[in-house]
Amino acid sequence: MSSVFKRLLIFLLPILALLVFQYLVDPLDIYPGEQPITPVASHYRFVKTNDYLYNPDNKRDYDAFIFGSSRVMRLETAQFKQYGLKAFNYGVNMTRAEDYYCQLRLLLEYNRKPIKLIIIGLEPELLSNIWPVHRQLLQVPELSRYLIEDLPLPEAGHEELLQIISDSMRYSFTALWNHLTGIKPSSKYEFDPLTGDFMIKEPRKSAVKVSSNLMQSLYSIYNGFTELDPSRIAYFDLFMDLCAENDIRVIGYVTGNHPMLLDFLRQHTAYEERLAEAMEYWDSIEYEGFSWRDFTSVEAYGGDPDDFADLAHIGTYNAELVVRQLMEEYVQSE
Amino acid sequence: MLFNSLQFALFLPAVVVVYWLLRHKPPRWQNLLLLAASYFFYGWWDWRFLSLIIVVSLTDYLVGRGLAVEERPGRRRLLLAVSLLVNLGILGFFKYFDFFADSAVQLLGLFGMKASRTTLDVVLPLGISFFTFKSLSYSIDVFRRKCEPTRDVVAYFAYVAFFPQLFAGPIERAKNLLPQFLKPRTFDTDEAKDGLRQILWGLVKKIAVADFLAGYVDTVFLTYDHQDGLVLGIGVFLYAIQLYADFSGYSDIAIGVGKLLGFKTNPNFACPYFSRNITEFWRRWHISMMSWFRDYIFYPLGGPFRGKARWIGYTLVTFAVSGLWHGPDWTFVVWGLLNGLYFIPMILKKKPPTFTGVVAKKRLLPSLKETGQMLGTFLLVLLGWVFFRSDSLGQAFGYLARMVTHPIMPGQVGYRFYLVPILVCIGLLIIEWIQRRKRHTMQIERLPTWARWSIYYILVIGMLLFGTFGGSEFIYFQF
Repeated sequence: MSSVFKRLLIFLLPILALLVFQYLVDPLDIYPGEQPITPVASHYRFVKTNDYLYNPDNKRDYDAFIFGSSRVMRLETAQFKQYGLKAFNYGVNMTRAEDYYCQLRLLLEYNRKPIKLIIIGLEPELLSNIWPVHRQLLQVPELSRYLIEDLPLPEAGHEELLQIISDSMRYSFTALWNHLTGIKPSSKYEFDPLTGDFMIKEPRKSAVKVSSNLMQSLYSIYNGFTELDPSRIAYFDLFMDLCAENDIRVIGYVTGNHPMLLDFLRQHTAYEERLAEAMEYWDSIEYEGFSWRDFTSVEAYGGDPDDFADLAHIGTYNAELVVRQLMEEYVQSE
Repeated sequence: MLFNSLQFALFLPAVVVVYWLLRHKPPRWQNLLLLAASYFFYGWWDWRFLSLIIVVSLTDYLVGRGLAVEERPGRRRLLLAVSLLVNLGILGFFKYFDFFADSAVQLLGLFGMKASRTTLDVVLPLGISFFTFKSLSYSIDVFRRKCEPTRDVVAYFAYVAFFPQLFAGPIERAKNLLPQFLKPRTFDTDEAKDGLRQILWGLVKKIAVADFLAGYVDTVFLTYDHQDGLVLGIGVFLYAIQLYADFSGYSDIAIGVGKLLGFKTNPNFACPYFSRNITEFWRRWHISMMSWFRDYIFYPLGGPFRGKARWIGYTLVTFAVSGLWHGPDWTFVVWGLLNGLYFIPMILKKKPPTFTGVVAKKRLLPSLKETGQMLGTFLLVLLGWVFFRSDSLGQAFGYLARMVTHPIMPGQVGYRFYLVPILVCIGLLIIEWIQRRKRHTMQIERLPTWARWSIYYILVIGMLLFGTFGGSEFIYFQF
């Protein structure tokens, strides 16, 4: 009997070594202490904050910022130049209200010019009562230090420890490979929120395809999202207070989905109800410098129903239209 | 506590070590440990429902004792009735109350009568279908004098609650398993190694295949009314493999753990997707359940001995009940009936083909005829799985209808998304095909040590790197 146990223990030794290896590399920054090599799972919160703060070419002299989820990432900052504004797209994936607040606090501290305008993507998810704080926000201390302890956010569900270790182990090899070959995520890469990988941007070559995994993701986001979270509303209020104090014009727009996904969400989830509640809330915001537009459907801004990168993300033509309409509103209000 | 959880990874070695430390003591000591471990295992999920296991065990133990001394047929029938009443009463209340209450209201509604809905939103205790059937088989077998009634209360309670089989079987009959609780067990090194290998393969099937496929299957069934026939076909194919990997993975782990503890249990799956007709499929799929229904429902009804019309009727009844056993939903009933209908051509044939051995036993590949038979059977099974997986009959029929009305939508549906899961499924089927002659896929003890250890490392590291550790339950837990 003891020989079986002995052999089993010998067998497990290399597995143990692997566990130690992923602990030391720690590519997802889940263990305490510094990581010895650059974390591989660089994400937009990390990449953009680093770019803004530490890139020597970045003068941090922006007039305008774009806030929002991956749905705002196609809004081109170059378009803002026509209106005399230098803009920075600070869109990060799966944004929540606390992200906006932390991002703005950081910008107010570090931007060398007064901020004139924030274009903000609005979606009910950012006020979700089931999403915990995004782990990526916690991994960027420059942002997470602004989180307010007194505003309790939804607790993270029990995350399977084995899954975390498995992800960490997989990324450890990628981190090591990237470290040895010098590969770094850069602007030519686009973050895929579904897989967590950076992918090379590819222009869409054909009509939008049914993307069942995206539909499933959105379904999961709304599954259990029963009401707007009071703490997230508080964060959004604080964000607006900061904008009011600093005289920042805020123009929001409700981001849209492809008509197929929109139908799906309406049919299978409480999207409509949450959207109505969120709209009611955005309507109730008293700050006069804030206005918002409902671009849920492409018809609202005269967009092309076929110009979508995928079911959840508009294409470049629609993005251009969105910016043009929002900027016209900005010009009029100025 | 799930087999694929960290808790179980700590729980099992602890139980196994203490269990074998007690090997020089009388078997009762080991049984006591198993009983305590099993109750702890179940109580980890919800300790309140332990009372159900205790009630079921106590009832059937006492019924067994009564039957041991009672010779009068009337009294014996009465004792059996008590066992049936308690077991089926508990099962019926916890599993079917809401279903029958709802169905009755709907039925009355059809006749224009209004009745208020009185569902109780009863919580379904995990494993209830398994431990009640396991315990019930004891009473029936003792009644039929096919099994010796036991006096050892600890052994009997440990048999009913035996933790490897508690949540999802196999429904191992008392006449096979109970005697093993009554005699001393010796540690068999080869059996223990074989058990560990079987556990490893079970985990691979669950973590690297079933849970990996689950996300894909869920998306297809959720978005079926946007997909084309090809994707829907892929979806049900993936589900077939997911279900098999999930449940046979669970069974492998359960049997493997049994071997670690010195118990021999019968296989629950035997490469069912390589069956050449539907009767062979049902001899190879969830063997312990189908043999239970055969011995305790089909044969008592009359079996194949009272003419073909009755044979067909009994087959349909048996399959409908087996469908209902899976869950209180009409989708399961239709799935059961559909499988019953598949049997009719066999019953009507004068000499239906009976396939008992392994397909292509002495060849690497099957013949063209065998390939056709396997594919045909697989397609029939797939059709059934659409009902089995669907949330409602409407969804099932909608799914099938869309396969016909939108067979292919090139350019509108993404197919590449399904490439990796399909390859995973094919990989699993190839491995199972190669090992189809073995009692389980990981019977590789004759390979040289370096080859075996390489396989172990590939499986363990592959599972660690690419596995899905969502802590998701095994599909059959819901039944």
